[in-house]
Amino acid sequence: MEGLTSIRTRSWRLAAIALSVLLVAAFAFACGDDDDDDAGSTTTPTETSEATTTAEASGTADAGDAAYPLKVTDLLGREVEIAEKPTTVVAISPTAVELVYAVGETVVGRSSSADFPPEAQEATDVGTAYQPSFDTILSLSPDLIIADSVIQGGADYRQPLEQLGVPVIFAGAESYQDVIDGLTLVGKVFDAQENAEEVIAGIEKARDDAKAAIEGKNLSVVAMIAGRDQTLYAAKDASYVGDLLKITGIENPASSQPDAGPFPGYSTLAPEKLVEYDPQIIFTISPGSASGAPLLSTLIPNIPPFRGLQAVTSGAIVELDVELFLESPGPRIVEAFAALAAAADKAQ
Amino acid sequence: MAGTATPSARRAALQRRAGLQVGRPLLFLGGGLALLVVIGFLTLMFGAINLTASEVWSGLTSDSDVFARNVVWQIRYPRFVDGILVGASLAVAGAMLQGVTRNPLADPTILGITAASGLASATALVINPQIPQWGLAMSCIAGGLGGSLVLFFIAWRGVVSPVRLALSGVALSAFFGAAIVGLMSSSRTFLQTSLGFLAGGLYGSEWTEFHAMLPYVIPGLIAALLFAGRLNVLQLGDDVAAGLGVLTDRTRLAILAVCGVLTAAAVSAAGMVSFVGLVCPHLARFSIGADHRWLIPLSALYGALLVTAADLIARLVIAPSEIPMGIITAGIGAPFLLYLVKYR
Repeated sequence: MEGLTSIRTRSWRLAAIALSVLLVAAFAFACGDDDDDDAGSTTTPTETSEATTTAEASGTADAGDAAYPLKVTDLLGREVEIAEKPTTVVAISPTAVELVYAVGETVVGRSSSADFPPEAQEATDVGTAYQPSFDTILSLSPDLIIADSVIQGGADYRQPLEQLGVPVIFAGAESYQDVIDGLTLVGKVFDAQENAEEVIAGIEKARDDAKAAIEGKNLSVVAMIAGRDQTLYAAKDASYVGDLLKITGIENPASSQPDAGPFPGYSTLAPEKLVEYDPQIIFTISPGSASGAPLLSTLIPNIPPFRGLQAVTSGAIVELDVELFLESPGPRIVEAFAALAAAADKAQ
Repeated sequence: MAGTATPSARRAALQRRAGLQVGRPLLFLGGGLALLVVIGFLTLMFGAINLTASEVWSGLTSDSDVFARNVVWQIRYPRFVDGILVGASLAVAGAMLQGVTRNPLADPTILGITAASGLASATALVINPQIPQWGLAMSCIAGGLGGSLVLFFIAWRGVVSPVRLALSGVALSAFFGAAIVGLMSSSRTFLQTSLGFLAGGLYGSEWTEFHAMLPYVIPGLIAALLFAGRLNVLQLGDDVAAGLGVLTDRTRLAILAVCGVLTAAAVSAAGMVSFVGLVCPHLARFSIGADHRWLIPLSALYGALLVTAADLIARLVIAPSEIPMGIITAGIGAPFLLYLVKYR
């Protein structure tokens, strides 16, 4: 009796275990076949976009079609094929949104914090730049996604974006040259090279004006941001604001510091170092100010070790606009240059 | 009663009990699988944007609605399957660790194996931010194995005692955890994604994570099932187990290695999810008792259920945005842990 029941339960158990394993494996392998990874993603959307636009495309086939299909190399070095002029664009970072509008195009989807230009606010919010919602992006049936090479350049964003079956280009800005390259890229993608070149010309003029205004003043400036834990970080040349300082001929004593801290291009600034640098002007950027955090420029004069700095005593602490200098580097670099030139006057 | 029962009545009673021995676990397995299918369908339907049931069905089966098909096959379905693998791996690792340490509070996080895998993952990402998912999985496996081996050898002093294993685990968990935070505070790679990584989340996971995990999870789960018998014997105490022919130290080492691999595979896809390995084996024990031959598969199923349900909640709570899934598992697991400490 004992032997009978144990054999039966043992084989039942084995059967159940084998079944569970087989179930999972079968489940897994059945689904595994259906993925399309890597660069294959650009082939599917061409069919869908052609299907929807054949009606319009046939009429204007002659004039604009010479430019498409084209191959572009985005700011991450990826080669992307654009079959036709994109009409339904989702841009998932403030920089990407501004690049699109700068060349005269529009977006149907934008990231939450992208509120410039005002027309962009009509576009659908697809989530923050750090957590774009892939479902919402797809719900807009885009034929082009523009992502940010600086914020979303890592594999953890690239992989899911490339799987969506829509061409993705990455354009972001960490320097003056990035803005120029981004505009050139977007201009090429939309066959709007003339608009792009016009904007670039405006940027170059703004740069030259700023350089001329600052020349000869021999300014030394430290640009700072504060992390959420009130740690101070100074901008180095690798940061956007540091690059602008360098281009306009402003000396940045913090540029020689070693890389330290989580903000790319910024280095943790020890209070003694700031006292040692004693810059003529202090630029501050306060990332939390939109949600009510106090401005760094009001905090600095109240920190005891800094009370004797020449920038503090002469009132030469300038609060820079967070969007222009940190959150949304891009075509508004023109205003950034103007702000730098105006701020330089504060020292004199 | 037994004395007065007729032979045929006794046979009937024995058969009934034998049936119950198998019927009860099968009931839970079947019910759990059914629940998993329901959660799966809900996952496909709801999220940042909601699909109707018919859209989900057409997305699953046909090419007609391209949008639904992409959402289902490229975003939600792979994420659901990844959740199953992550949950099953962590729960089975937890079940085995509780068996091998004879400590109901053991799980991969508490014993430092999650942190070791996390450290390997963080290091790999810092060295190469563009590392492909299979490379990341391999680094995690190296970290998980390394962590569990270090754990074993620290706790080994001629023989491994469950108490020493548990204590060493706590210390290693603190050490590796600090190393991870140190790495994060000085590396740009983690600035944006650190919360998702530290709490554990499935944001952005799809088929690449699935393919990277599979070669480690399937063999790991099979190995766990094969060790189930020996785990049962280990529960009887080291002396009895040795007397019954189980090489206790080698078995413990092998089990720890399997736990390391399973945990690391889960961490490579979902970051440092906690409490799954703690809660699910206990729930499984409430359901069908402590026989590891049923406990392991049922824990896997409960782990899959917990992770996929938590992921669904994580995507719905502040839709269209989402919170890391690990916050939900911790929110469920921490009170459960307190209950365990207080009442058991």
